[in-house]
Amino acid sequence: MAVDTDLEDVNQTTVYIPFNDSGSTNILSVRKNVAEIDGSDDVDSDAAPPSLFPERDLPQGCELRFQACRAAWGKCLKRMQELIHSLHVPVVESIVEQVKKSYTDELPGLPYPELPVVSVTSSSTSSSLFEEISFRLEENTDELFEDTNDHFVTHVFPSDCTTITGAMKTIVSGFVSRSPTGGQDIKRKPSTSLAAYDIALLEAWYRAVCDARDDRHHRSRLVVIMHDFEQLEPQVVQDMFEICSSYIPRLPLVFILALASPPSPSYIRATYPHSMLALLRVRDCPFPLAEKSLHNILLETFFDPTFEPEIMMGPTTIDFAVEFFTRHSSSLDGLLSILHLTHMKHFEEPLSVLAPAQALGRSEDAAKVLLTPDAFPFLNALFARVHKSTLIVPVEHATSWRSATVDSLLSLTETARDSFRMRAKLLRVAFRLVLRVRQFMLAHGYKAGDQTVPDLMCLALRGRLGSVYGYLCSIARELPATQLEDFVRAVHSFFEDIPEDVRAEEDEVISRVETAYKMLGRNASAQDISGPLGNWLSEYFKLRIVALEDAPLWDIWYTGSTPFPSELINPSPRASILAGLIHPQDYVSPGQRSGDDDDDDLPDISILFKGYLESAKMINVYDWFESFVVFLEARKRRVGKNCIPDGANGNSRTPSRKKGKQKQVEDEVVHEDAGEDEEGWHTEVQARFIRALQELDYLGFIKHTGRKADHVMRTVFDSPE
Amino acid sequence: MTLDEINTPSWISEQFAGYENVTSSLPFLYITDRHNPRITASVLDKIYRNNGDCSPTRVAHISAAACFTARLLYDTVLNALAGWEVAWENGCQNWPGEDGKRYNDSIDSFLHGLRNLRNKSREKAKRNGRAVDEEPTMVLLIERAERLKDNLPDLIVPLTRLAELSQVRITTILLSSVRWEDIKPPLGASPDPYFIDIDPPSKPDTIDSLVFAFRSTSTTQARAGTQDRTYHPSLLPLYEQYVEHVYNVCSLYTTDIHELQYIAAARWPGFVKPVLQEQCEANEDGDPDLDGTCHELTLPASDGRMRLLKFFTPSLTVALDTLYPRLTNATDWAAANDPDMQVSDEAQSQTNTEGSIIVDHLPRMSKFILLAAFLASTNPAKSDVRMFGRGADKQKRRRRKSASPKKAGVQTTVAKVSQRLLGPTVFPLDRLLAILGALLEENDVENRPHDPCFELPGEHTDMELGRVHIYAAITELTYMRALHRTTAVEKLEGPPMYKCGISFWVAGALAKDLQVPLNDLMWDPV
Repeated sequence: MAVDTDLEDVNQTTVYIPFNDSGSTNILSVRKNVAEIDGSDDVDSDAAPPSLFPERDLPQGCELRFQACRAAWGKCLKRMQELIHSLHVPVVESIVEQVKKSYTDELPGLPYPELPVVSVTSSSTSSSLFEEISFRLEENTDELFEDTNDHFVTHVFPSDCTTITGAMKTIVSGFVSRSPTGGQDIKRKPSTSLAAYDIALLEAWYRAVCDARDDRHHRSRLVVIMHDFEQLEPQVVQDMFEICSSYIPRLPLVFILALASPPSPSYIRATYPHSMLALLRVRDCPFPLAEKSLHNILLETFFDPTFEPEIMMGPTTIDFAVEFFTRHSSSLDGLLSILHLTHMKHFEEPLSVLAPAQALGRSEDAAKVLLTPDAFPFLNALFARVHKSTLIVPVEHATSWRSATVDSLLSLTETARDSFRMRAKLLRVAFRLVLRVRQFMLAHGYKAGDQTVPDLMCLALRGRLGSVYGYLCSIARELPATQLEDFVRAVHSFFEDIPEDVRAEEDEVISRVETAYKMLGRNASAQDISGPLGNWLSEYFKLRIVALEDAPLWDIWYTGSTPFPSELINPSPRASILAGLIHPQDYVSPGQRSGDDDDDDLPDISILFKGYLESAKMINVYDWFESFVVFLEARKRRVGKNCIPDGANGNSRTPSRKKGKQKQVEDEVVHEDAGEDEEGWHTEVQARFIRALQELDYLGFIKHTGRKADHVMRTVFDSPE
Repeated sequence: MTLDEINTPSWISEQFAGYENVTSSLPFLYITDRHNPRITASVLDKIYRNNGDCSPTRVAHISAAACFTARLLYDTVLNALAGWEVAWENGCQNWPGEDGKRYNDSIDSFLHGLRNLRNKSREKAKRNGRAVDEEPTMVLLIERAERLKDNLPDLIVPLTRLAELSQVRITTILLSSVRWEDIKPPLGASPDPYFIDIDPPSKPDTIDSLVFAFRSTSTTQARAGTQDRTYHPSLLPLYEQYVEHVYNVCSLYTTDIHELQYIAAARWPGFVKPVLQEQCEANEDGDPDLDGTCHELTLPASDGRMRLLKFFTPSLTVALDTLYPRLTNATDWAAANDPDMQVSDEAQSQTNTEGSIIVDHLPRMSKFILLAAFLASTNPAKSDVRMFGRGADKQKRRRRKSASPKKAGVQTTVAKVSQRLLGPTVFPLDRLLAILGALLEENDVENRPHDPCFELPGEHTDMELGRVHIYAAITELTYMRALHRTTAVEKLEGPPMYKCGISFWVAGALAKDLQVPLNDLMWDPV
């Protein structure tokens, strides 16, 4: 139903046509639930998708997991958005500063005033940056500090600027539409007043603004933000800058260019001639390198002692995210999508319903949910996992299963949860200390390996950081007295900043560091301090940096080494289409497959495609048709032979297209029964051939050249076998 | 007319000496200035505005680039000639004339407006008791007149015949850097103008005007009352010497007055700093008179000056290197190259000259795509199999046309120019992907994570090539204009065609970054 209305809707750019009608409600509801995770509110939680693991799932498992997933991702997303936002702050500040200082910090003695231009590369960050900039520029800060930022901002988009008239009109009317006095706008006569694209109009307006504000120093700037600067027509931009530059400094215009291309090699300098560049004073506002920001965001989200993500990312996901970021697209939005997907995949597992604390509500509610016959497979699976794990002392194994209740199971899960979280937290703290030590060693000129921070993260999560910290501790043991003091201080201050609960857990190593710190005050020899300290630290790291997979029920809170579903982020449509044409059976759900003889199930388009792959560069359509006929006739004969007279097998075959293929096969059978209608059969085969040909044509496999009669050209030549 | 009155360097006003009277009686003048049209325009503007005492001249100085529609031109010219200031309060009305009609809808109403203007000023003159028949002289000075040809081709003829058409005493002056022949309307529709060609400035002229600029800067600074003594009037002799030195260093590359002034202005604060510091110390020793503006500064002796000039010569060439192509701006350069900061070495490494192109900002795949696009745009399509094919004979594969010319003098055929110099050629998307595949197979196999499901050689690369993000990266690069798409996006027929948008130097930097032997892969190596 929904599909039909979607197909009718002209505004819909993409319509998802479900695989078959009975499944469509499920798939649609999956989409709705995905939307729910995204935070949209139109929830249709009645229809849940089928579980991937029905043999050990709860009946309401899906909804519960969706809720848990939404909460977990929401927490992670909020943290990352804060981090991304904090990346913007210095850039925004520096832009605001430059706008404020433009026209005042000019070098004396220049031949003519230059038009200030700030170029910002915004490819790797989200587009909210320019909203922040314009907000900061227009806000009225405290008058007392002479820090008023009441500039005027207007936005220019490439679609407005196909001609110079349009561009000037956008700029002028962007400012002029605001009344300078705040009162009623003065009506301009269209014929005898200045044209709307005349910059003189802007000048008159600006004079009125300055009078109205009693702004004798002309502090307000006219800021033009040009979005997608590369898309603008260079000729138009040149004219526009020339016109604007002839009006400065009467009109204090400042341009902010939003570039997608990197600052080097510079797009502006490569595209525009010297005559235009000479009019401008271009300043670049660089972002920190995208890769560094990525490392930082990952570190601050998953390895911050004060922040606990609900779901810990495993090394494979971190690896994939970094790899994808450096290889394909350096965008932080892409990183968010990857982590979002990982969360969604993680919550496919039925057990993950227990991820949040008190996942099923208080114990009575939980019992109500779990003590139903439908929930038994889930309970059973949970029980098996708990008993396999180290949560129960082996001695009690023999007896405890008798007394196992839902309550006891849940409380054991809670215990596992707490112990996992503490373990992860201690790992984070220890990892941060490794980084701190490593940073110290690098700063003092020691070699400390060339792994990047994400590399180290992955090693730490796998519990294989031994060689790194072993090496660092061995350097620490040999530290000379001068550096040792700084080192001990650094380690000591590190432990002062950690949260209270971790401090209680780590009192042993803390007291040892304290000892070293005190010895430092007592002028003990360097060797006496550094030797034991190195050993202590090494012991500490060995104890804490262990694989998280060793914890009981770890897979509820940790994605571990689950491979990332990269096909979802970076699919290969061409390969999928070819595979679909060659092996259509693989795309049918296993329950619906029938028969061993593949050829019997092939849809027409696949039959045609087989011929396509075997042919030369040009295909004779008639020959193709003939082979199609031969194939169908053979199949018809086979079906006829196997056919049980009551036609019962008709329902079991070719489910790939209920209405299309299956009916065809049935029809074949029917025709067999009917017997002699040779002509009808021929017409049908022809129609089916044309239809399949059309489908191939639509997919782009055929090119009609017209060079040779009755021939079409192949467009795909790789053999996908 | 003294120099101060017209506020221009003498050499250029000399060229116009005596022209003022001539020009006002001529209907159409064409001034060609290939070198500094901007300076000439400002000089002319000042000449006409300053001789207002003897005869009532009204000047409209417009730029043909700024007046891109006829209406804009009419409005601007009439408002300027009438001296009408547009005010926001009355709805930004144009000069109303006497009948309140609009003068901006066609050339006829514009001419009508001109006549109206003439009548009005005549009345005014009558009221002031002047002779009735003394017509006001009007001058329409159009800068960048070459742009008229693109923007308002229909208006060239009426503008050149303005006096004749409007019956008003008006002189049209077209100022341009191209010759009249290049923008002249066909069939002799325009009358032949009175030509003036401006000669390129000689060395003394250039130095004169730079010194003149110094003087005007120092007066504006004095008027503004700044404590900064960088442009103190008594530094003028030193500045003269400095400017001459700048001219000697830079004149090989540019003699443009504005460019020289730009470079001089960027270096001067640093140059004069030691001198001023010395003065400061001397002052502190002597009388602590902080109000140094009225103080005369003592300039260093000639050997001191020579040492200064010698010390700053290398930084002048650096300034020319970075400032002339505007790799950075003068203000930032002056701050970065302050002699006190002792950071000149770092500053030099920071400024991104052509030699050090940083390509860190792109993802790895985009770098490969750009490189493949560069190769597709420079190599002929026929050579691809030989350049990228994996033949058995490695030596043969690399065989390419030798770049060295054949025996000189024997062959008279025209030497073929390298494609690298001719500019990029167009290539289809498939070719880009094929070259990309070859590049990835040769240079990227070790860098990608191993995937056990691909066993055949090249299978993994093939799979990677079909991925969505390859296409996304190509589109994104097109968006950045590092690739140019030459076919329309709406066109579905045939493969999309692209053109490479990066230079050889950028491609070289990319290749270095990716460790691809670029020179071996080019058909026409450097």
